[in-house]
Amino acid sequence: MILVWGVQRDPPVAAVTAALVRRGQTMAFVDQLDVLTAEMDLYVDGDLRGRLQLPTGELDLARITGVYIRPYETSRLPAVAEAPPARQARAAALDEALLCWSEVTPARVVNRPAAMASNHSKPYQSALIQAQGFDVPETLITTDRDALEAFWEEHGEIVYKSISGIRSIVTRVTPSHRQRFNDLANCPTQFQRWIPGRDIRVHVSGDDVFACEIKSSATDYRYPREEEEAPEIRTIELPLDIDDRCRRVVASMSLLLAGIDLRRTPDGHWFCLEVNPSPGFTYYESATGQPIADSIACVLSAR
Amino acid sequence: MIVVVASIHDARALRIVAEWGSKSAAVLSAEDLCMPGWVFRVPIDPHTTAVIGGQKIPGERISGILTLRPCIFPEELQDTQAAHRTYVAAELNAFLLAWLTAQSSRVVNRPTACCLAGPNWRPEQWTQAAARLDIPARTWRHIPSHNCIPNDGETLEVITVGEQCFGCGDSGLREKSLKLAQAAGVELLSVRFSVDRTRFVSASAWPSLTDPAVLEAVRQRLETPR
Repeated sequence: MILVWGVQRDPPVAAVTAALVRRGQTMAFVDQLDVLTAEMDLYVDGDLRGRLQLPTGELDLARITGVYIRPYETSRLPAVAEAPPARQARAAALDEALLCWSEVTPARVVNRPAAMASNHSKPYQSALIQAQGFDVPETLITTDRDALEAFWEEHGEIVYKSISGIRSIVTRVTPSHRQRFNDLANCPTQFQRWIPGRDIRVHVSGDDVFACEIKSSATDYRYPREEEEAPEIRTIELPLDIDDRCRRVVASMSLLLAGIDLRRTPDGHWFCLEVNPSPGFTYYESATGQPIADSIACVLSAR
Repeated sequence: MIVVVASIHDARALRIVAEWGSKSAAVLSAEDLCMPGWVFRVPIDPHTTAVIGGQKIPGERISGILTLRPCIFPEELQDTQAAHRTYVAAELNAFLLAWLTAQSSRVVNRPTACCLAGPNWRPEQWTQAAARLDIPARTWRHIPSHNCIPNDGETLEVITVGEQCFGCGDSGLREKSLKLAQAAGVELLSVRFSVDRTRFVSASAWPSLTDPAVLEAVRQRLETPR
């Protein structure tokens, strides 16, 4: 049986759920909106046993052979945010228990929380990516305006973005930003050499690799500022060595599913920008028709 | 120089730095991370600059790092506007993780993606690791009530520092503790067993470090090249 944990209207969760139904796979859905009422027991000794009591019935966790997890931050769900503190604590405890079970269960987990954690620090993840043979953009993290000026001078065009997994819009540094350089002392900030070229998104799901090219003139194609910057997405075949590097990166991070952001420069050089361990793959799937959800369902169903 | 990564309000960290001497040890606090002077590059450049104890320090001067915190909490960033504390804490943790991981000197305990010091395992993960090493152990967690770890009150503690053990002198428990530390990938670990010496009770990658012999072993470990 496959357990899916998330919010049903979340497109990736809905797509994986539908793909599992198409396969005729038995499935249990843990709706994150049920965290205020669910109960759970977890026993660990030489063995692992557990029980999850949901509004739809009781679930024996020993029967679970595959898990797809994509929960939102529970405290931000309206039902939880508006609940009394004791209920909020209970919701947090259930989250924690499910995360704990996701780490210790022998089931195939897409993906285990510890394996996903590298995404919380982009420079930490960059070092892991580089160790697998990919080039990564030169990066400076600093609280020092002189160091930033020197880095900018060295690379000509640079961008800034968050260091952590908190989503930020990649923004080019322009002369008008100089008036804010003194603010650097308040918090270390990440700058990167701007890599010109075409964005390539690769989804690795088990043994399957799906690549697509994104054509957009925006600095960050996820946030087009005007209609002309709206991305065009099409399926491509990766060169074999790049395909191989993508598989190696994902395997080295103990992930079963990942969305990898690459950039190919005009002179054919490939950089890896980031690995997303909980990709919103449906955006690319709907644009290309790539059967990513079916592949994930296959990974989850494998014995 | 030995760097102790801790809160400036952590009395234990201040005591350790006082013990080791302020010329050879200093606390790296969240406040230090928000001061001018930090320079860190990826791909890794050995010529980085850190700010430790309010002073700019070239990376080459750092001989070892003792990390006494799992993360920086938003609540401790009192100099940051309340609305920005969660974001700034996430940024500081992400930076500190990358910086600690990149250090060529010894870091005790080395960070993982989940924690600035060690694997940050839950009781169930320690229990599973112990059971896999044939050390009898069990935990039970029930929601909505609390986590239930069998605790007989009195326990026997073994503290591992590298290959050395302190605390309970039972050679069997010491051997089990070293195996558990190795399985967890940590150099510094406190392991507690039941008083009848038959069962693992709990483990922590943040021992109290009140025993002078343990503290001296940690200092020697930090001054030993990796």
